[in-house]
Amino acid sequence: MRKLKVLIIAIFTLTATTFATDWSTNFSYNISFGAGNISDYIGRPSWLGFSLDFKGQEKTNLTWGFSFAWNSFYEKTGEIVYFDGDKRDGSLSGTQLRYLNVFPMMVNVGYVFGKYYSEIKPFVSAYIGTSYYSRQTDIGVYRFTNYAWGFTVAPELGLKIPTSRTSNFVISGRWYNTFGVDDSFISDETNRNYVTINIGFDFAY
Amino acid sequence: MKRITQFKTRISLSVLIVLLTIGLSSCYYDYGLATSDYDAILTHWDKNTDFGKYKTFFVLDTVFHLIGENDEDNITRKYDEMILQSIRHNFGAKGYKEMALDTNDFPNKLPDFFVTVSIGKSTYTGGGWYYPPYWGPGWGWYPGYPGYWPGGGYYYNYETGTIFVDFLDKNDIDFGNPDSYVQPKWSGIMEGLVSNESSNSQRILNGIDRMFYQSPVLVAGGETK
Repeated sequence: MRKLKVLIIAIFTLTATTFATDWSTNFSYNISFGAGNISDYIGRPSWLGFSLDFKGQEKTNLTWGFSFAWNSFYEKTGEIVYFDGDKRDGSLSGTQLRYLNVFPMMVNVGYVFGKYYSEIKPFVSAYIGTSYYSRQTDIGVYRFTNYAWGFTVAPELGLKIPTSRTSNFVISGRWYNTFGVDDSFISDETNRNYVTINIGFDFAY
Repeated sequence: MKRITQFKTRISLSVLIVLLTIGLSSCYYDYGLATSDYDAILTHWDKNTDFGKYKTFFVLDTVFHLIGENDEDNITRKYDEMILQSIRHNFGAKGYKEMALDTNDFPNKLPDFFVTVSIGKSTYTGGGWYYPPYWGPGWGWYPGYPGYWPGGGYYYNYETGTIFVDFLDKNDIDFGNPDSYVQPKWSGIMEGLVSNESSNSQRILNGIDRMFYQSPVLVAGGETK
């Protein structure tokens, strides 16, 4: 009986909390800049990408939610690739089309500074989750592919500029740090880093 | 009621945005590749060999055509002499000296290494009805040409030509047994699409030059040329 009471109270508390939460969806266009070994593989910034964040905001200005993104790097290059084998070394050249598609999937917590809907509100967020790395390299008539998952953390700083009572123009910078991505074609190191500039809108429900 | 409708509209809007973005994701930049963009050059060499110790070479004057036992040899010999000349020139530019083979004194007086040239052709045909036509890891090398039509079917049928240039140490060759296998100390491989274009000669010459350019180990007597 005691357990039932606890369960009922928990359900009511959770329901009340959910209804007290303001939900919003943020959709942003992303420009991405590879760093470290991503930049060595594809030096060109990515102009192809988006992020989609679902966030709930408490009265305490604390936010939480989940997020998806897609960032696509690609470049054409004629760089010679040298490789070391156990018994034989070698080199490979030809026009290369390099593609790297990253799909981060994360949960987030954050804090929005400011009280009123009409004011410009800075915010900070922290993301944690996983990223799927899909890499494709075309050389000549050959295609080399690799698919890998990694553990990702990403801090974010941004500004919300109100456009109506229920929507904001949002600009932010997010720094993705992924660990454990196994793809020696890009690098023997397994960490991957890149920064995105995100420009979009959020809509409150 | 109004709030529910508003909520549904926004959810629909979000879904629409996601779908539009996924649709746009297939819009990669079209690089407008030429036939020569499909040329690839691979070289590999024995990492324990000092290529500086070799001084003289001999290029076999026959280009071997790699065909099946019962297949007809339809590989053209139009480019053979040009290929052999280019290879002689490139080994010479690396500091090696070409040596004539004295058949009267064979095999007592031999060059330090022999160079063999082989040519093969392959035809790739296939198709499918899925998107995107990724070939997963573990399948080795697979062709990606000529691409795909997003969301629909794709079909390919093309022919590639491959030139193999092998550097054989004279001490590895068993002259009494012509069928014995010799592991080349260095190999240069060029592969490209077979076409009837007038640029074929230039593509072949560029490919051979690149084999040598991207092989820094090929330097006679430690001289850099």
